[in-house]
Amino acid sequence: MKTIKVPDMKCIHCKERIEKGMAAENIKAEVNLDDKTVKVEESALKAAIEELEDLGFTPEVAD
Amino acid sequence: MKEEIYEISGMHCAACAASVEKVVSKLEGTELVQVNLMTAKMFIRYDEKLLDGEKIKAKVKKAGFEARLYNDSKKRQKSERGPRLSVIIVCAVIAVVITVLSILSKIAAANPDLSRMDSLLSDRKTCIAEAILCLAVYIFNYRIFLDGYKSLLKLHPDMNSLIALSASVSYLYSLYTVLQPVSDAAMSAMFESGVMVVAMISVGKYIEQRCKRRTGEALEKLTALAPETAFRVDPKTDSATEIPVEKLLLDDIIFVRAGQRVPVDGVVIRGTACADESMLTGESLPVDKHICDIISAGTILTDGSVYATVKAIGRDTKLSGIVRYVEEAQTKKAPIARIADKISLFFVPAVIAIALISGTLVFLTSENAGLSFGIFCNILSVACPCAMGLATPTAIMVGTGMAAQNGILIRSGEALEELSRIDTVVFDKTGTLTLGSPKVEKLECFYLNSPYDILKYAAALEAMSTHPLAVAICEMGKQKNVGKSEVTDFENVPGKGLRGRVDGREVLIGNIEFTEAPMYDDELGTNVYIKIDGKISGRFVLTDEIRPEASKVIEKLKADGKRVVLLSGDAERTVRAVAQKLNIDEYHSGIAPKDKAEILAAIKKEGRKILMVGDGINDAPALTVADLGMAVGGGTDIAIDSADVVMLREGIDDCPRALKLGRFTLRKIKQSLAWAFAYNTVTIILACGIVPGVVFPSWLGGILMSMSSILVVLNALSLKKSNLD
Repeated sequence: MKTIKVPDMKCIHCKERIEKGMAAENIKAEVNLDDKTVKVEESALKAAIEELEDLGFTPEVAD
Repeated sequence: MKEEIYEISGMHCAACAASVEKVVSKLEGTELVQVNLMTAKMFIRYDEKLLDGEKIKAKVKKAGFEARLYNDSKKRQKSERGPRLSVIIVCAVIAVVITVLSILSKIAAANPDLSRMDSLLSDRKTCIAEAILCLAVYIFNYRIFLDGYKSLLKLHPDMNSLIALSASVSYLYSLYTVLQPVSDAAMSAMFESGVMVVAMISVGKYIEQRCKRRTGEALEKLTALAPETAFRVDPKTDSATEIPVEKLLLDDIIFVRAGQRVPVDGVVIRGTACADESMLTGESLPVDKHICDIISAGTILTDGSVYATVKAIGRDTKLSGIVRYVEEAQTKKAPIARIADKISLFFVPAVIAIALISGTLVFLTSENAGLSFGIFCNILSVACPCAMGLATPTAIMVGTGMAAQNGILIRSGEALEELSRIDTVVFDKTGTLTLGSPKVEKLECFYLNSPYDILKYAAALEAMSTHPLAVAICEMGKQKNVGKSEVTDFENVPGKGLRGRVDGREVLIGNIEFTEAPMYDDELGTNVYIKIDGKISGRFVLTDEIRPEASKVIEKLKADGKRVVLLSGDAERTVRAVAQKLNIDEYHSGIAPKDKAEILAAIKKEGRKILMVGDGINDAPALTVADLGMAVGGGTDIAIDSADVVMLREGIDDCPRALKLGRFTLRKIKQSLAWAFAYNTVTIILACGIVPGVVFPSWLGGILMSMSSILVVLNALSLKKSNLD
């Protein structure tokens, strides 16, 4: 599992948008609003980052 | 280049707006994109050869939002206002009908004389019809079930969970018994309990919903303060052209005239003017603006005109800063926990436990699965809290009705409950504790001049000006009947004073520099000097008059044990004077709007519940941070929209009354809940079959429940008799 930092995740709606977006792209993701992180499998990392950018966030790979 | 405005839906916070801006600006062909969260609109300038509306909309959709071209979307304004009254009434009628039928059928079954009615009512077809109608009511109120189960699964059950659980169980169990081949199984059907609660709750919610504030409106009004056009000056030709505000660039030169609103933040480079900044600072007197002074978007120039360089536009203006602060504070605001939900938190697990234990015990002792399951369902259904669910909405309904009769507008049921928990009241000064307009407090006369003469000359001159200080002096003149003398050679020097000839004498009236008075401004308040024929003949001292009822209100609040705090952007001397006069021990002066909010946040950390009373936009941030915001009637629209409670009558008299009303209402709610709780507990115990020999027929349960609900309603109505003084 890789952790992606998403510092501009502000509110619960941001989290829901990410969850919906990931589900639409068939990426299994764990979204944590308190830590502002998104955890995905290593294989889905690139797709997840692309999706986060499409949603308007600034993802940073942590691990 | 094409310019378009889209309406964006689905944005909830500043981050959402930033996301939309980010993704749209990444599109090839976008030159400029600005998203305004408050108005939910996006302004975009793009190259139509590279980009079109469809691509823009698709990009926004990919980010999780919807975009619609502004002109089209005006049609789809059928807002989400919730269920319509007619459907709610239909549900209520269905509920009543089913209850009546059910009670009748039970009575008929017990009475051999009514065997014909009995067979009709117990007929499977009738029951199935009831089941279908019941299901219709449940489906229409699906939100109660959805929210209720969600909270239950999160292990944080609330009132909705209790209702959803017992309504579902009673429905499924009743359906099961109706579909049995055994003919008198319909006796155990109890559709009425669940459907009655659900219908009544939906009526209660509808009533509460009507008062709910729409937060978007307040913020929209704030944004509307900044005008849509500005006059840009061409430095070479000195001519001004009116252009949309969005087209202004930093360091452009704009021209603003008296009577106009300042469009952007800027620095004055030529001219002098007076600006009414009350909407931003709460300061009621116009502020003088000279070269190098800052003028702020949203303020009005009352006098004079200026040329200014643009220093901040759109999102970066001070006004936008306040708006952003308010909207952020609103999203961070924790929902007020309602007492009915707090009770459900422990009631639901308790009921489930009791049901499971009883069911298991019966099974172990009787080995009868059907009976145990029946008891399990019975207990869960009987827990269905008709009265409990009604306790809050009925009290709130009567409470808000009473409030309205007393000129107090309460925005939500939560606000009414929270009023009872307030222990600290924070007041804004200007406009809230004071009238907001200056009044002559003292007139000093020098050189043996009579006050009458001084006033005569002063009033004559001041009659030619609309400045608040002028109005105050004229008012005094009117009171002392000095009449209206004729003025010639009149000259108004904005920000300084007035000059003219009255009765042949040269009169100057204004501040200390203008009149060159060889004195000091040592009087507390605004010092206005009058110079007649070259000699300083008198001095007016004007102060912001404290509201006549203010002192009594503060006294009442302190007697009730509330902590009273005064906050103001004004100078220390003025604020101290007001605080001392009103006996307020805690006060802060010279604070900006955002600081007000921070002071409140600090008090909140001490665990206090704060009511903020204010009247202006500058209070909007604080009104949002406070646990409850109360707007003074006659205050700005924005304060009224950002507040939870609005005093419609002039003054602050109703502040202590509102607090009392909150206390009484909560007391009623607690009484009703306690009664409903006791009733529920007794019926659950009886339904357990613990008391030997007592079989609890479900029709009795239905009747008792209705009686219990009626009692709760009557209790709520008794609130009307309370005395709020």
